[in-house]
Amino acid sequence: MTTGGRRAALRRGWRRGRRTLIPFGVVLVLFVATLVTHAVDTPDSGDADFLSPVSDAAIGSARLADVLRGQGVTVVRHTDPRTALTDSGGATLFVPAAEYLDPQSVGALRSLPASTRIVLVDPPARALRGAGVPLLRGDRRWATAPVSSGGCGIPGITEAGASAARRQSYVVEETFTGGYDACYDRSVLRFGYPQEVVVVGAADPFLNGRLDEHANRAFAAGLLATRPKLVWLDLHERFQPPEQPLPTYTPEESEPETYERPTTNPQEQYTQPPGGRDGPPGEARGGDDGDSASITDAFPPWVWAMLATLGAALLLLLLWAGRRLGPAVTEPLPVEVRSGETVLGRGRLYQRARARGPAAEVLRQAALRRIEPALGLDDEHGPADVVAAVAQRTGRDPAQVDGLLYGPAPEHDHELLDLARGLHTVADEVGGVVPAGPSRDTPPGSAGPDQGEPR
Amino acid sequence: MVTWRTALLLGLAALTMPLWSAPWWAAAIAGCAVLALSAVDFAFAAALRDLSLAREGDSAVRLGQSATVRLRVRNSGTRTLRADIRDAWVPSAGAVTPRGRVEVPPNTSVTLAAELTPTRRGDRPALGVTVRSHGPLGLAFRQRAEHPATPPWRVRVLPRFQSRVLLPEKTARLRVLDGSIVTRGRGQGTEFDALREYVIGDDVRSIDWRASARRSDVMVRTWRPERDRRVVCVLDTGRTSAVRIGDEPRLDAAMDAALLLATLAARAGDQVDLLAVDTAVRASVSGAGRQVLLAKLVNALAPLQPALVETDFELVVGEVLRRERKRALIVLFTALEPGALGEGLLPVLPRLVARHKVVVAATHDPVLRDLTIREPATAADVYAAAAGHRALSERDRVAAALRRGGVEVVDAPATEFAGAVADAYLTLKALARL
Repeated sequence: MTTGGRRAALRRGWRRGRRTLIPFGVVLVLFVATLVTHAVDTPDSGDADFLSPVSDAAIGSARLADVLRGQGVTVVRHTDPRTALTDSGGATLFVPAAEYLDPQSVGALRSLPASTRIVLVDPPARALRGAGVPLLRGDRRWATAPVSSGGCGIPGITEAGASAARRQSYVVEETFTGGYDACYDRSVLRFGYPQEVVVVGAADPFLNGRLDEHANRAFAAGLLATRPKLVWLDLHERFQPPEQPLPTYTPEESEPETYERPTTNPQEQYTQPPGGRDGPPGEARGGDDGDSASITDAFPPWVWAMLATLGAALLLLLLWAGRRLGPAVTEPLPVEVRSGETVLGRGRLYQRARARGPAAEVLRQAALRRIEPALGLDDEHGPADVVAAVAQRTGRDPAQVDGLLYGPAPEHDHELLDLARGLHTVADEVGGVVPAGPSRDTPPGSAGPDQGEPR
Repeated sequence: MVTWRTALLLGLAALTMPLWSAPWWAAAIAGCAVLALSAVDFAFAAALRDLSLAREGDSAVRLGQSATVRLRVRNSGTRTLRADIRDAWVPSAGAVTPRGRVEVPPNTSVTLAAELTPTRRGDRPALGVTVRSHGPLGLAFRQRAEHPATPPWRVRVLPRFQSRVLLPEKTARLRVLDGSIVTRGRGQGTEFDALREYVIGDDVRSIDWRASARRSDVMVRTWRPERDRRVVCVLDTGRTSAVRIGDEPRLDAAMDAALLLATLAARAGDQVDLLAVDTAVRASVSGAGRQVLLAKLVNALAPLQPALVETDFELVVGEVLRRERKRALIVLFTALEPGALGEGLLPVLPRLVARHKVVVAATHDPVLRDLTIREPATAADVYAAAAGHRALSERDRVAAALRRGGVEVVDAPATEFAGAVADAYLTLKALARL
């Protein structure tokens, strides 16, 4: 019965535990699944297909290259930065993976002819610094979001419209006083250097798989088709210059950025876009209405209708499940007092008060009540008579018996324990009967014969 | 209210959304259609006001046995009732009620039998009947609290009366007592029976000289045990009766003993009354005829529960004195506890003893005895043993004080309690001290 009860209790406990674990488990599974899906879905710039003009994969860009060729742009693919740099005078230099450029090549970007347009996709801070672009990386979204252009003044994409360009946003260094254009919620910026440098905060508009979404096609093609020739630097691993390897330098994307406070009061010259969507540097977010406007477009309307109907069905299900068949029943429980409660409580009080003397006295009295009738002593016996009789009966040392029955009060708990055990043993040896718990009195008839006399 | 089927229907409609050219319109139409279907189904469900419930069956059962209570559901409406019916009882009633869909055509009735195996003594009430009337499609249902009204019912669970097994033995002793008095003529009876002629061997003390003078022969009186004496069982239902002795409260042991005593006394020809008191009179039986005595007692005892209050012995004595004018045997079922008896009973006891013969019957706690005879293993055991010895000696003091006051004390463990009380009664009867 007890094992069955314990098993039932275990089962109950497990059921209760499971009830609390299930919601957490569901949340955990959702969380992990989301992370894994995100990791799988995010294009890797080290992949050979990534933004490659010859790849038909979803993360390649062959379709974009075809579009550009269709617009009459000559697309030249290079895998060596040196040749690309020498080839791109007066053309558009498209660098999809600036993190793989060697420092020399990054530095050489500035020495290109003034008529060149350089397009960098999600460049690391190191590349920005090396190329002398006065930008700091701002906040980075977890996933790419489509944003509206916000009245863009960058040549080529002024008419492009909403595009999935917002992943990394940028902040212009406060020391920079020149002019620039900022579009797409500060994710696409253009600096009119000697060369024109355009920084794009997301790779999504250029991907084969995303080219048809939003205005990605117009955006990507417009950005890359301003010059008749496009030099496409198709780089997928860190470029090592053959004549001067730099084995000690390991560039990292998350290199700490040094942000230098301006010493003079900067005179900022913003070329504000007409829409005025740009906030001050530092809080470079605010395209949320653009997000929510387009998430409804991301799925066909039947998805939303289905979700709404399923939600209504779930609500009905909850209503049905919540209506119980009559109220819960209650049991009027009787009061219950454990037996011996007061006695055990008093025992604990003795212990807490360290009442060894009174406890020993009570035990001795009880032992004497057991021993004395068994010894058959006469009515006028003293302690000495009892001790002598006990010693004689048990063969113990009279001094020890005297100490046990009439000795001083014990000082410690272990002495008390020894005393109690000793009394127990002596009483057993003497053979005193344990007084029957209910000290049954003389039977009711012992009141005398005359009581039964007829009257 | 709708059922899961409505939700399922709507869910299925949701899955067809890709097939529609205008999904939002489709969703709206599907929702309205499903709800309209449910509304139609709701309208076709049997109306709750046309239903009536009635109960019949057992109203009393002895603890440990089973009873059946039937619930009749009558549908006087025009639509067939398809219902889930829940007949709720308190958990300790141990009710097994039929589950599943019940169909009742118009103007007919159906009977649902609930099998009750109660697990506790006392009144076990039926709490409520809930009827969920479904429509023919099962899409919607009607359900309202107290519609239809629950017919009240209550099964009185009677005490087990386990000490019945002792009854034959005690009755046999009673007969021996009776018989011995007839043959021996004197000694244990006090009530005058008859006059008869003296035969050699009769006690000369029982010769009735006055009768002998009237007749020419020597006459002796014969005696028989007293009949038509009064026995009053007083149950203390205060805090001391709530203590669990073994598996059941002290009150249950007292009830068992009281039932045995009452049955025995009734067979011996005595009148038995019963009183249960704590701060008020909880139950009383008086002047019950011999045939219905046991049923009346059991019925009065069944709903008694211990209360966590100090028993008012002043009230006990007052009630007993008020009810019993003639001398009676008062058996007080309580506990030998110095606090309760020393301050409550002892001061008022003389008033009671002056008029009646009083027996205090108490079950004692086996835990106490175990504490005192066990060899201690730890210091805590020693202290507990000391406390136990002290409690025992206090109890003995109370018992001694009661005996000094002219009261018989019966103190026995719960297992032997009923027998011990019956023995005390038989002994008193044999000694003609009732």
